[in-house]
Amino acid sequence: MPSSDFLITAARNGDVVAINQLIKLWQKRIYNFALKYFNDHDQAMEVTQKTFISMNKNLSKLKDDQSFKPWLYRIATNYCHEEVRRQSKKWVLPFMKVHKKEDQQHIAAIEQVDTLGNPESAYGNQELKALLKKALSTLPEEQRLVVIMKEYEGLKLREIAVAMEISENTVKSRLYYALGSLRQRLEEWQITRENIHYEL
Amino acid sequence: MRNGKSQEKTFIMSFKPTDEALIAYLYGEASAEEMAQIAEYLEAHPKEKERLQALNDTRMVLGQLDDEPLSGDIAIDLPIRGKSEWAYWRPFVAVAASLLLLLTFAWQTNFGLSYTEDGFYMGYQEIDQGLSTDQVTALIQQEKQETIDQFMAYMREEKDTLNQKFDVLQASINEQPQLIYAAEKQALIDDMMGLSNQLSANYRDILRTLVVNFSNNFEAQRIEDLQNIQAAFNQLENATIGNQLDIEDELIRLSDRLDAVIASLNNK
Repeated sequence: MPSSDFLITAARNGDVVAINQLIKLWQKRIYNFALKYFNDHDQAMEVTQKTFISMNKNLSKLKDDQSFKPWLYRIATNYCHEEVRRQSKKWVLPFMKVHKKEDQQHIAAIEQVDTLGNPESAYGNQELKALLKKALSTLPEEQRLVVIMKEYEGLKLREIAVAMEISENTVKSRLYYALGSLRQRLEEWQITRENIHYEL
Repeated sequence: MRNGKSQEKTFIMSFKPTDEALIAYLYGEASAEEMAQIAEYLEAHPKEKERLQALNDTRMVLGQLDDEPLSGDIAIDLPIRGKSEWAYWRPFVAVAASLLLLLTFAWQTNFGLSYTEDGFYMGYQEIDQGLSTDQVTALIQQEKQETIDQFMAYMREEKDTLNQKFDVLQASINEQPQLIYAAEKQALIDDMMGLSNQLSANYRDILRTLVVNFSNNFEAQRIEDLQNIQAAFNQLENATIGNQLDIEDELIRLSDRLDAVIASLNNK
């Protein structure tokens, strides 16, 4: 995770260069956070842009530089929720959108191979990523957010609690059920640690 | 010792971490004491350990999903901090307010727009269309005639009023000139009498004043003259007495010289 304490202080004082540097440091993280959540580039870009515009506008209200990270993820989380609400009004369910034909074929092929029960079958990188994205998309929104923040963004349990404005116990509980669901889903697809290209 | 070990065993058996505690242990975010307790518990419960290991394996698999690269920096149009959003919207609000003002003005003044096959019309008050030139001329003539009639009626009314006043004046002059003359004359006489009385009263006052002043002056003068006379008599008296005393002194001296002469004659 990028270290940006001195930049935060300068940015809060209105230093435009510091603000731009902060954006450069964090834009990839926020983009990937939103991308894993939506599995859609446009929506991820939309959320990322809004997050940094809001960051610029409200940075002066940040009381503690140390809480910048969960604060930034809270903004991004709120915009993710907003985007979901916006999409639902359009009667478009982001996680049931039609995948590209190639993606569908990949997923179908892998699932067929898996049903043969061959534990030694190996997965290509792209196919595995597609399945992992799909697995994430099957989680309820709140569990998905917690998993992404913990597994991919490296936030501590306490930071996730601050970002999502819930208790730490709730974070742990959601993580527990999310990992359990994911394990079950991956087992159905016979994706285990043993049969992926993974080196310990 | 046996009791201690069985107590310890009882403790381990009674301690059962919650799912939340297991997650904290899994991510290494439990306290040191909790970590030790859960580790002991898992050692004592292989199935639980296996279940937790399965969750950890899931984490390993999830870790295969890498970040997507971000092609270039995100272009973000940051609004200038300190400048409120109101500054951005102000021109639009100004335009909207101006339009609203124009519409309100037009509505209040009955400004209207109308497009017909004859063309596009706009103007204040209700737009009348379809009057021909003759109709407009007739309207103007009618308006003019009404104005003239009103003026004539007004003039007649004024004339009647003036005639009436002249008649009254003429009648008063013709019918009672003598009375007027007498009344005027009497008034003049009364005024003169009044003036005369006023003057007489004034003259008497003046004379009275003169007499009083003369009397006062005369008395004062008399007193002064008497005082002067008195003063003169006093002076004369003083002078006379003085002379008399001198004479007496001379007589005395003469008497003494005479006595001396007599004496001397006697002696001889």
